[in-house]
Amino acid sequence: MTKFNTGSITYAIKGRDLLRKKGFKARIEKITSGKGGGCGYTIVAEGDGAVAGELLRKAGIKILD
Amino acid sequence: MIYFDNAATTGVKPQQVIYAVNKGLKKYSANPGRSGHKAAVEAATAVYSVRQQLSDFFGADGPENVVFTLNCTHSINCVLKGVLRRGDHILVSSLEHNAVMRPLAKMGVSYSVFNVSFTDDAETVRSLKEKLRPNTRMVFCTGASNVWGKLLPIEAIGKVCSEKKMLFGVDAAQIAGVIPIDMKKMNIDYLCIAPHKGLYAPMGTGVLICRRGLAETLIEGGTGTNSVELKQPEELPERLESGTVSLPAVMGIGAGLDYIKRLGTERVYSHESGLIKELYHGLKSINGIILYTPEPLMGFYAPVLSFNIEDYPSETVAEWLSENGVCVRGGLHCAPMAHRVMGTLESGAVRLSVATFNNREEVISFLKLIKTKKITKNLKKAIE
Repeated sequence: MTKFNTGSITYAIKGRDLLRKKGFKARIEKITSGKGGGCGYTIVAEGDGAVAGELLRKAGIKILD
Repeated sequence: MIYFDNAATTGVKPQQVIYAVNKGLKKYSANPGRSGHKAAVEAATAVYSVRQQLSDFFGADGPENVVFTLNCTHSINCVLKGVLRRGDHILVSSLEHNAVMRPLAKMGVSYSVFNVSFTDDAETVRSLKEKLRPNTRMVFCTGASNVWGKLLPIEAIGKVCSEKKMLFGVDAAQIAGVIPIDMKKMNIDYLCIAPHKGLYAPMGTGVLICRRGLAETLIEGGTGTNSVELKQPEELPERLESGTVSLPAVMGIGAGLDYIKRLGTERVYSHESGLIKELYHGLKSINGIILYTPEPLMGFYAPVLSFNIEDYPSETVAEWLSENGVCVRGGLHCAPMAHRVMGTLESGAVRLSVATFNNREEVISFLKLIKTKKITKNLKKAIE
């Protein structure tokens, strides 16, 4: 399971839907406090995290540290 | 009642829009984009799906570039005040609404006006080119006059902007949902939409679709992202959506868009154009009616038509029509520039604007009413 912090709910939904289309199980959670500047959303993806991350980056979805 | 005031807002909202707004209130009652619980994410997903619909329909670069604002005027203010800086020059058309002119007057930005020809679109483009300056940063213009209906040659203007590397913003209040708009094909950078008009959505929400960023924001505040930072987020749509969006109204926008897509924009435009043409010819045949534009042909005019009766004040005519069950708008329509062009700044004009639910029978009834000799007698009485 890999977590991708997007910050924005809009990008989280875009990323979640993209990963689901590519066969990943993905859901959205709130960012854990202390990360992402205090507020925002994360995509939780099951499966190959590296592949998922690459798909998100290619789609222009900014992943926060 | 005959409702011919659809340029102000479409007078009948389809049942599916009413249902969608209701569903937004009942089913998606959580704030879309603040909390992490299931209801909040479902609400946010519902809003996102409307962004996606709008992005696809208008040829935008993606749902993240679709912003929900308070109304079209707010969208226009976001663009003008977000883009223009001291020393910039902007071109606007001779038919602009006060939604464009008042912000420019307040900002003190230098602007020039290009003339819109009512008979020759090439002439309009020539006028625009003649007004270009080395520091012209942007062209912002209406898609169609809210008074005279004249369509501007948006695609040709977009081509000039692209060639000259200028930004291009469009006030699509009178054309979204009626005339096909493809932002990529037309080189439109900022598209300002009034969903409560041609998309049959509730009043009180606007749409702004961006293909470029906006350096400055009008409103800063909570966005549900990066709360530690006091700086407004850079990314759209949150950059321009501080505070809570009206989810029920957004659901209404989605349903209204579905309604238009199901009918087909071409069919909608053809139907409305046909009614306006019939109104034009009917009015033209009546003594004492003053028309100001050539025949409103499809492809050159939106379904909006304005006229006057002899030298009666337009508001008086509109009031008399209202007493006889016909809803129109008299006056200056918040567009004094458009009236200055036609010489109707003193009288204003009586505006007719139709929608999908209007029909031939209403046109015939309206023309019968106008034809009766009683009208002038009653108008004379009204102004004595």
